Amino acid sequence: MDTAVVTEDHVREELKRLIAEVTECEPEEVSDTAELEEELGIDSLMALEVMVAVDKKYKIDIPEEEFAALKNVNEAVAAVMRHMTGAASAA
Amino acid sequence: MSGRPRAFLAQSGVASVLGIGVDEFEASLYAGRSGVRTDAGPATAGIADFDPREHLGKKGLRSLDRAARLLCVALNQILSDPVPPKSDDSDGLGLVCGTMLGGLDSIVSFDWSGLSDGVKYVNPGAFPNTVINSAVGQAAIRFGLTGVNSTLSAGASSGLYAMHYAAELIRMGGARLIMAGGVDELSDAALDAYTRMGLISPRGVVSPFANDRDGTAPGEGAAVCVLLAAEDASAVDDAAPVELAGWAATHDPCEPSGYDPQARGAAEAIRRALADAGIAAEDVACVVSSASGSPTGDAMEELALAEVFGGRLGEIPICCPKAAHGEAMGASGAFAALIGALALKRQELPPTRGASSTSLCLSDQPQSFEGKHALVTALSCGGENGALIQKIWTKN
Amino acid sequence: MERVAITGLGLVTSIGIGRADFWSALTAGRSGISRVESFDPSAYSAELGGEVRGFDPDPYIRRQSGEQMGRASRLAIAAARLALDDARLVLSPEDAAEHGVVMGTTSGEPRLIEQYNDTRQAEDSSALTPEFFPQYPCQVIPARIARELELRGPSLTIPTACAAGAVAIGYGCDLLRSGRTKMMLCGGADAFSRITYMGFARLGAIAPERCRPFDRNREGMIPGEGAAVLVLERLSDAQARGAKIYAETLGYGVRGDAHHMTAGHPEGRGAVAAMRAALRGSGVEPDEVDYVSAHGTGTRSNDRMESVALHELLGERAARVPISSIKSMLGHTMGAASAIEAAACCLALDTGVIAPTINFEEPDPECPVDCVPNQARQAGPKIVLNNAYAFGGVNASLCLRRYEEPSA
Repeated sequence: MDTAVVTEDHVREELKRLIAEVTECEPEEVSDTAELEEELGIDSLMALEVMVAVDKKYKIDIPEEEFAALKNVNEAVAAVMRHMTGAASAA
Repeated sequence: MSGRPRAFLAQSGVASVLGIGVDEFEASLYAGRSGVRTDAGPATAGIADFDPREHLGKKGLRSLDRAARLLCVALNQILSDPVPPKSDDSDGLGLVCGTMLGGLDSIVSFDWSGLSDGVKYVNPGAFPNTVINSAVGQAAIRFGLTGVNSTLSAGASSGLYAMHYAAELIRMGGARLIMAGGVDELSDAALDAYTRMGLISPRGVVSPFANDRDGTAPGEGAAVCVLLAAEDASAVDDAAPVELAGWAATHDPCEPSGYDPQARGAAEAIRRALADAGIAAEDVACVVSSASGSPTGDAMEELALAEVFGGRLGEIPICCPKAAHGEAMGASGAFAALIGALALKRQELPPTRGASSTSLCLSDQPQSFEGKHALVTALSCGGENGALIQKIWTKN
Repeated sequence: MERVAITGLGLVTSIGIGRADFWSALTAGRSGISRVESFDPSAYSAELGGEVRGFDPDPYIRRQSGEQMGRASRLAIAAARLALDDARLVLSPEDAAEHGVVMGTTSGEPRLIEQYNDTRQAEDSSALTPEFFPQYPCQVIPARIARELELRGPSLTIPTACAAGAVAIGYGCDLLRSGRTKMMLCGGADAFSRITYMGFARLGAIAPERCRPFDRNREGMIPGEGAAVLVLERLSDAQARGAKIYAETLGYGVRGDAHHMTAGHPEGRGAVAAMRAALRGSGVEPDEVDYVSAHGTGTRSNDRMESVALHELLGERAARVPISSIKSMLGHTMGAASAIEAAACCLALDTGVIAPTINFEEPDPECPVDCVPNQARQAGPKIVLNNAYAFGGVNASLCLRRYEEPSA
């Protein structure tokens, strides 16, 4: 089994679940490319909330400025994977 | 006092163990129902199965804690009315609320999450609800209230002090229309505090003024009233408008959990409220009392009433709504103001469940009276004493 | 309606205790910020705070036991006694029911929450005695002052977070103007709190090095603590007893943004409304405002919003009317902030000197204001607005005027 692929899907699913939670919609309604702020209505506090939840779940530490610059789910997934890999190699 | 605008009560909204909405609240109260329960441990008067979604819809509730939800449910009744209040002030509708503890559960939980999850992983989205004024802030956002936004805290007198604040603003020309109320949630921490302080009735009954009273039952809720400025009653769109005619607040220097055994501040607050309303003690037709079943608190209130009303005390009908809704903390004073208005309109006080007193005119049945003025008290442990005189105007 | 005079100032701050020490430190641009000591900040993403150090409030607590009392109450009692002493006011017991106290706070007594949770974590509830709990509800702060000084008039707390002090002073002023009271002690108090620190740290709002309001490179606020109490009296009473009158309180405005719990409205909608309401209630035109005490937390968004609001109110004068933030020196003392700032406004009106915004190096094109950079300035203001903005979208503005002796 290719753990890397499974993990990225898991991360995508988790991010969508979190975004759906803070925006009070269904995960299915969160697309990979929808703009987090303009289209999904995620303000800076909500974005921070998602970031902290993600940091906690994956034991990573994404800098706030980096997270704030993410435009959509795709970019967020990439950022999480980047930090996870970074954390793994640091371990 | 002459020449200044008068403050009249208009619509109200309420979320209480006695009902959601003024009609249900009034019906339960006058039917002698009580929200005090003992099925889950110590006596409490919390709102079981409170589901704000029934009243507010499904969206936008996530960031509201229980206190904010209670307040929003009460406000929603006023603001979703076919004819909602409209501020002629371009700044929009304002709101001032009293609260004793704020969203205590939010505050305790946020700190607890720092201990259990570590400070790095606390939820930043939970931080805004840790300020004591968060319920009013959340309500303002939800309903677009861009007028006055204020919160105040004075123990169990908080809700009545909010009425004072709003009425003062009207009297001084600072607002023509403003909403005032009170809110508190029954959190686990508050229940723990009441339990450990030995304030809860072991019998599970709130018996204000009764010889065998042995404590209260902590409760919760929210009530909000619209206050309007009018130069006189004829300008108010109501056949029998109720005015906040006079009020006063005093302090007794005592322990935070205590009362002045000589009732000095309480008696003074009532006297000053009467003077502020330009009436004498004889003009008071009924009393909505804040007696909560506290052995010392009720003794103080009875003494204060005796000081003010003298020999007449045994003839003035009194009701003690806390027998029905428990100690709702910041909401209590707002409930009391609402009840005073309802009573004046009906010319009938609600019953006091399980009432027994040889010296006071209490009854477990509704008590009718004839008169224009009600005294509403909100006397709190720790020394805060609030009194309000309400006057009903009848138009010919 | 009665006119209201401010006749006494009591300050408990990280840069000085008492009016004189506070003012001399403030005008010298001294900073009260250092590494937090009341808890270990190493777990947080920040480490700076404006704690009040080396001050023992207990000698000011004479009529009750300070033992069970929370820190905010203790700082508040000290500030209240300092204020009455500064006012040289001896209160007559017959008037006690007309002497009241209104205090602002953000957190009340948060250490009690911390202790409560510590006992839960340790699973040892022996500290949770019946005497423990009543120390928490925030009306305990003014109640403690009232008990200490035997004030029997209205006593209450305004817990409107970071705007609390200004609203408390405003309401106290109204209780005097209405003729309901003769003397009101008004102010604010907040104690340093891990809950507050943790929250602001998690928001990423705490500046790593300095609080730099209006500076292009500002990086946030710094939590602090303190207390300020102002003595407000009827002007006629103050004149009759020959009191020193620092300033007159004319009125206040408080308005909601109804926008967001932590972020101010980007166009300063509530801030502008509050200032306009304060000026209207005071019978003052915007053109007469010649100094503004900013909320000026040093966060990117607040200071920008504040500048926008100022321009909306004052038009092209906005770039020239000085607006300074003493949070640059004290950090953000929460509910005490706008009360401490009100005291600084009184002293500005009284002495003619306006306090600086320190740590200012580079102007921000998004904040085209005169923030009185780094040096106090002799400016002789006559009408001052003291602004404060809080979580929950509360915007408060207090209007003060220089007192002029009536000509013979």
